[in-house]
Amino acid sequence: MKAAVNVAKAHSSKPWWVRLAWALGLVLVVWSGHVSQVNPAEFFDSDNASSAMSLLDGFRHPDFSNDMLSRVGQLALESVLIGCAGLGLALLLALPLAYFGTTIPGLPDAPNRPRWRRIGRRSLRGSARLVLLVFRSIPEIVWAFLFVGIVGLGPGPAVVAIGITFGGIIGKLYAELVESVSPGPVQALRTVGANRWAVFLYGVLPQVQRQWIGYALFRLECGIRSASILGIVGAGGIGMEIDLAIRYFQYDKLATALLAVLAYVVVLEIASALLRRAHVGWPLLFLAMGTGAGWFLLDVPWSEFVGDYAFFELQNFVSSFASPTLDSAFLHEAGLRMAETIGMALCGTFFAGILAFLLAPLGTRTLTIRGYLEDAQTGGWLQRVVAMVLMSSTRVVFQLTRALPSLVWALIFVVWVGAGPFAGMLAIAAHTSGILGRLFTEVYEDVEPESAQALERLGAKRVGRWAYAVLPFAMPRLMAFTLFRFEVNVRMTAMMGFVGAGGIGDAIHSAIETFHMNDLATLLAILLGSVALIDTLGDRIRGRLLTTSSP
Amino acid sequence: MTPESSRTTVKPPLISLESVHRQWGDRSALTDVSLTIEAGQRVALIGPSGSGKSTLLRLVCGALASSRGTVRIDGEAIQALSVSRLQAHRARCGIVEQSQHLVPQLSVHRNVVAGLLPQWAWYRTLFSLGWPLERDRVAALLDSLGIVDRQWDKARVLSVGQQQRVAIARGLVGNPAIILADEPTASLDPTTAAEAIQLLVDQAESRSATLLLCSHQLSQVVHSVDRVVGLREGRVVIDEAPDRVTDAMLNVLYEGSRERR
Repeated sequence: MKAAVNVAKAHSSKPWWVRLAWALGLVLVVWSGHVSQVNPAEFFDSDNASSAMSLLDGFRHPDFSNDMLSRVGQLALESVLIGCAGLGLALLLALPLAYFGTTIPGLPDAPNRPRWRRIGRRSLRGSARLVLLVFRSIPEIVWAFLFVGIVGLGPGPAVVAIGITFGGIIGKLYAELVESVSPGPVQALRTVGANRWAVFLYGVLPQVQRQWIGYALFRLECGIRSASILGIVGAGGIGMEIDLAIRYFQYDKLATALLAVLAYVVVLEIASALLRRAHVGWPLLFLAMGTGAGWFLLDVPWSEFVGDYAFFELQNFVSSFASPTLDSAFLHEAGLRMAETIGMALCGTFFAGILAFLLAPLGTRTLTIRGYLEDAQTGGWLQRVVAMVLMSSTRVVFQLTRALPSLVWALIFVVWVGAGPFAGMLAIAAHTSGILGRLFTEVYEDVEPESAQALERLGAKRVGRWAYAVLPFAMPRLMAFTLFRFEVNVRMTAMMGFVGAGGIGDAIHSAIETFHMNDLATLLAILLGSVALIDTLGDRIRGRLLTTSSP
Repeated sequence: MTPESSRTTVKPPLISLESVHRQWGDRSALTDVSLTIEAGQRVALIGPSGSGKSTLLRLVCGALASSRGTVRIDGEAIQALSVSRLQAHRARCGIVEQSQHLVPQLSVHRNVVAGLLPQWAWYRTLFSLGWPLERDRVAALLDSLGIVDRQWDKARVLSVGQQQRVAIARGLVGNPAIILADEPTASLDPTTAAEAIQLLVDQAESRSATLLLCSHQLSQVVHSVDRVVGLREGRVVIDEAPDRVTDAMLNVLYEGSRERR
């Protein structure tokens, strides 16, 4: 009798707000699919299929002529240098902003100082954070396009654009890392009378340096990926070649360029994985050398960025924020575009999350090959070879999908399914599935093995171990990573319009092109507000996910 | 059929270890252990920590391979079993683990049902994620262990004693013919420990299953078993009926170790 009562209880055991959240999530996903104009029939439409085929034909016969190879080689090198130089600039911007924009745990603001100094410190922190928000909310392609208009074609605008956007992203994360250091060493230094600088150098920096450098390396990968595509607005690098090849349907040349991008991105990713494990000095040297090479070898017209004309234009740009376009039809349209952007980001992240969720167990060593027992019991050699092949090919798929920048994916999908939000959503999904796939495998491999070991001793098979002893531990982190990726993707989707793949980027692009600075101000303000809102919400939800679910 | 079993008509013992060695790198966990356990016996494995008790259990259920020597189940060497036969053997063993190997985020029901995973095909496993299976069976088992009212609570909110019952339920849910209990009382206070042991023994009796019970405290188990095997540094030093185990034997067993029996 008792048992029957409990069986009935099984389905009311989740609190109502959890069910509400799931229902709400489902509604949002359906809405996002609608907004992104998801239509699988587009893949097989006869026109679209034939353009997809000609794309594939290009990849079967890439243009490996000497002329093309040397051209692609030069542009690829330029992209790498742009990425390095841009990251150097980003770090230059991020470090002071992070330093002034953070509260050090255990160190009150200007203790024992007059009141006005405390207020000064607080407002300095507030403005540093605001600058970081503005920097990171505006996608690099917008900065690049703006600067191309001011200083002309070439790698310079790309360097500065990457510097600004990445400076904002890096600065925010660096500040967050500082805020999570343990206060012990800080307080110890305070008691011996060290000032804020000394506390920072000797109490905080040693605690965060590894994470700081690791993140800088990761951002370097992103920067170089980004530098490979900024050429489509004329800002140097291999992106120019990619843009031209697509515009003139020269898919053999496109294939060569994309293979080059894949090659250097993959090499860089492997190098950065190695560097992260090495002594701290090596990645520092690597970053310094890359930045130095970028600054010396690229022809960046620094003087023009601070020249009279640039000053005039930038003043124009900034002052347009004082008089944004507020005409209601425009606002309505801009709001719709922003909603479309968010919908595309959501839908793309959703599909990527599902794909990564399904594939990641195959790419996890402990789930496919080794198992958790001391004596690996994986059956015969054939089974082992199959498992090995499965795991490596999954990892290769993740690597390739994330190696191509999302804008390149967008170009490809625009060719395949036509311009519009569907293409942009697919691009986001493709790029994100590789990123989430790798993150998910890392989470699975990090799960404490005891429970899975116990189940394997019982004789549970792979699926059972995954479902009952790995997934329960990993789930909160998988959700938190996916949510974080969604926040990043909102910014990324805002660029899709630059290649005709939907979202607010299209309106931003035409506003810059036609010098409608007041329209631009409105659009950027809407983008900025949405990004800030989504980031804050996301921070809250992720914080809850990770604290309430830890045992 | 192995040569030995074809020669004799006597039913082979359920478990037999023939001069089994197990190495961990240079360290040997088991040295030349020979044991025969008949079906239905209740055996206590005692000895200080690190004496090889857990290793022995894991060899019996096939989760570890011996470095030398043979482990036989019903007269057949475990090493020679095919993958599917090994799987079948492991499904016949119920392992009662220490309670900290439960998954704290999952409900009690799910933790118990994990004991059935070896018998389930993958699609059943995946289906069970969305829809709890075998509810009546698990509920009945939990009822007999006295925690049926906690069935849908997360394992992490249970007391340690209740968690241990969940671990016992997980080991028993597959109706095992061989119950292997690895220090099931390690994290319990004496009263709860005695209860847990009694539960295990009762369950083994009512299912007429063979019980191998590891413990480093003889006093807890001595009244419930019909054979005591003492391990010291990987060797068998005691193998007696419980009433014939003397203090002198125990002194030899625990000599130099700080643990009390």
